[in-house]
Amino acid sequence: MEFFIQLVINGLMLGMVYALIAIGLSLIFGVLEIVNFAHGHFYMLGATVLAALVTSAGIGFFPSLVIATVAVGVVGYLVYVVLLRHFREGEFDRGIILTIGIGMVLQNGVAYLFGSSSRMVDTSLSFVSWDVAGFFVDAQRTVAVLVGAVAIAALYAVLTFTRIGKAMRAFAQNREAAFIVGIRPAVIAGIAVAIGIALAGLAGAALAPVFAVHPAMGAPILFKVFAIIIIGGLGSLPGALVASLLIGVTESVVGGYSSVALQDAVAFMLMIVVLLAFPAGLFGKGIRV
Amino acid sequence: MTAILTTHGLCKNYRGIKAVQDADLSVARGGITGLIGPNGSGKSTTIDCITGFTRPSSGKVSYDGQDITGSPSYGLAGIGLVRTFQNVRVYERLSVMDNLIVASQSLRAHGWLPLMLRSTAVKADEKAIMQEALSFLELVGMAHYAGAPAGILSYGQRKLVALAACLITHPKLIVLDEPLAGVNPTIIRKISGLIETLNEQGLTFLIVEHNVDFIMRHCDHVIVMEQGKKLTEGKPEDVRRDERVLEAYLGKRVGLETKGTAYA
Amino acid sequence: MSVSTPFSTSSDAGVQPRLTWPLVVLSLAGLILLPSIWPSSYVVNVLILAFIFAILATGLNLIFGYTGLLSFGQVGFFGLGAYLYALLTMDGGVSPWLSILLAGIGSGFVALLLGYPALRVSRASFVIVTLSVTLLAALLARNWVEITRGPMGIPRLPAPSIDLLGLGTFSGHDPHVFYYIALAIAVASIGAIYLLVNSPIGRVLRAINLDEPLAASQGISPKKYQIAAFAVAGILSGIAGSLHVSHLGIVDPSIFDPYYSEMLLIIVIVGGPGSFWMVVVSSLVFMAIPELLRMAPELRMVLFGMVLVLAAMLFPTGVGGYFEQRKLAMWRRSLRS
Ligand SMILES: Nc1ncnc2c1ncn2[C@@H]1O[C@H](COP(=O)(O)OP(=O)(O)O)[C@@H](O)[C@H]1O
Ligand SMILES: [Mg+2]
Repeated sequence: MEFFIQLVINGLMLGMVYALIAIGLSLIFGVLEIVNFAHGHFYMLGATVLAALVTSAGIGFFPSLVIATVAVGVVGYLVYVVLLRHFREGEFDRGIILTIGIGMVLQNGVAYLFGSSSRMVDTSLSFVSWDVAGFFVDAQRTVAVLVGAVAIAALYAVLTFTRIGKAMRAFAQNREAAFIVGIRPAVIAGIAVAIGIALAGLAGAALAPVFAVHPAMGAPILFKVFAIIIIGGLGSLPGALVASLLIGVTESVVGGYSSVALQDAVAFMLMIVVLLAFPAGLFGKGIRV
Repeated sequence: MTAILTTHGLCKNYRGIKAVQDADLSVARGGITGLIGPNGSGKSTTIDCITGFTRPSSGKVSYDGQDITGSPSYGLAGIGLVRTFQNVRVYERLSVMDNLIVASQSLRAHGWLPLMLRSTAVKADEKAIMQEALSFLELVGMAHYAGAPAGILSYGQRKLVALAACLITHPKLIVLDEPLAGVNPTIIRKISGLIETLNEQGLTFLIVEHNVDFIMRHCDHVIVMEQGKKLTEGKPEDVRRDERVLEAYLGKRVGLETKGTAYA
Repeated sequence: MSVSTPFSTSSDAGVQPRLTWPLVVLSLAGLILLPSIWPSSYVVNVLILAFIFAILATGLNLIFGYTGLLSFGQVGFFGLGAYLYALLTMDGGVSPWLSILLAGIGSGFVALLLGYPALRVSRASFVIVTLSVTLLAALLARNWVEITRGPMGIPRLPAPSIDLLGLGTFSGHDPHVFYYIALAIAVASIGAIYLLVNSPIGRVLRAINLDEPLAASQGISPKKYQIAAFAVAGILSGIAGSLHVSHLGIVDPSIFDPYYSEMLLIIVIVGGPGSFWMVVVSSLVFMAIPELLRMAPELRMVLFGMVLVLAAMLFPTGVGGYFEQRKLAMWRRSLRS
């Protein structure tokens, strides 16, 4: 039983990371109807920037975390302004091709500049673990999860209470509705893209000390998150959160009792099942593209 | 006259919006039935329910003695029920001729191998279809555009091509969603004349249209919808005199205006 | 109405239809003669890879360019075909030629089964499901060790050989022989797709791509055609995969490398989705580029990424689409005057 609880705790932590990435992806899909294939590479970028700041520049973990997140968010905003802004509705394939191109540039650019080997990042929290009520929790992971939870709560507050946040939600529901709020759609979309990509950068930065950092780390996690947002329902933020936690826990439990290979396959198999049983996803409104 | 198409208690809800409520409609075989009503009164949704583009929330649709409720849209052209769309649709990057050939049913009856290898039977069929397509294009006055990509045509010309594409399926009932909207007077006369001629040859029409002149002149039966419900029906001249119909149109407009100010 | 009016604007863009066939025959003759003129096995190996990619790209062109469904499953079926070939020849004792055929059919069959759930919801879900299938296949290849031998892969695969009566047997392990095997299979499979897309079926596929509701209103079941096209594209991928590993002599999980997906996409995007010959030419060009453009592989992939970005921004219809647009402009002009 204790082993099981330990697995669930680990799973919730993993799910939180998925959630950070999935929510950003869903947010971007909601406002632009673009499936961002570069999203995982922004996660990688966040990790790479943090690694450079901590290891090479000797800056502390928390300041580095903030700098990396903001930096990735700025890159995301620039990508919107220079490229994504020019897309009209219904250009679904073009959006995918474009973001794959961006991803290739990011991944191979980082590999060219920093080399493609894995790097470890050590912080003051590395190798520290806390004993909470008899359960073993890794300090670095816990910090990553707490940071993620705070970010998600903050995003929730922004979407619920601020004018721009309400505009984003209205925009995702109905493009014309955005005009009623009186904010230009381009501004809404730009901020949504920047926030979504910054969240991916944050996830990468927060986890850099936990996992090895390398240029190809973005793709595998992104693909898993794709499955998650299909399970949660494309474009649904609560769906993305719930499905992330669900997959995180399931993976952890499966990995604990079965094989690592099955653990990696769980998300995809669950996705196929969900597609057959609930085509619009668990929380989806069944957006047709 | 017997009915070729009937609906019983047709309902369609879109998350709270009752787009169509309890509509009992009947389209007489061999006639031209008009379906009118203010914008947003559920006419297009009714057509979508009839032609399988959306599944009705409840109710029944029968066509030519069969229950076609909820049957997929692609199953209906084969039994003689075709439609056009409010915002006219053509295959923009196919030639006008190809637009008609695609719509034609007979080539699709061949197996994939004869089609790929263009067997003599396929070739003969294709030739016949081209001839037929050409004659329909001549009928709608678009024959000289046969080789042109449909994307270069004007809105009105597209409507003519869309009508020809309906005809090549050999329909019994054609459902037209606003065939005259946004079209210049010359093409309006052309389309009206065509509908009249085709009807005389035995084709049945169900037509959504706002053009009062057309409704009065060509329809032999008119159904009026308002806010998803059937308001009334009857002969065009009776419907025209009906107080409630006038009110529906005027009331709607006033309603829209007040709503507009509320949003601003 | 004169009979000479070209009815179909959908013929391959780029070259005048009159010129297409002489060009195709000429290129084919050139390819047949090339190894005797330039017998470098280096050149021959590059061309073999180009033929394999031309088959793969034509498959993606069918499902994406003509049918309008962006599939990331092609590399998954490529790998599936590769493993089927290895298992059939090594464990099943099936002959290489028959194995290539069965690998194609097997991959097509799996595509057929996956088509329905993949198309269930939307185009977005199709993209993600097909991508996931490729990832799942890679996972299987790495972890189902009893069957696939895991990360080490299956080495010492046989190659098909040509048995010319009276002249003896030529082994496909010789690149110069394999060259002709790959060329023959490429011509046969690409030729079959050419017949398909230029048949009435191809016209229907294109119509579904252009306007699905309109097609449905005309009695066409879009899903039926889309699933069938997906299956046929799967067959091509399977054939390409089996051909590829019969040439390499080994199959391992790197057959699912994202590199293949990225190259495949760039070939079709630059050639122009829906432009038949341009995509074939593009396969040859992009397989030759790495050999001509000697630089760090990462830098090359950065460049290719930029090409994708530029193509998506400026020429979403590729080189072939550019010619089609010019043709449209010509029509407009001729109608005005
Ligand atoms: N796909 C849909 N989703 C939500 N509401 C819809 C949809 N289609 C139509 N409606 C609503 O149903 C009502 C009827 O629309 P419609 O049938 O297009 O009217 P009409 O054709 O008479 O102008 C409108 O209020 C419209 O907003
Ligand atoms: Mg309407």
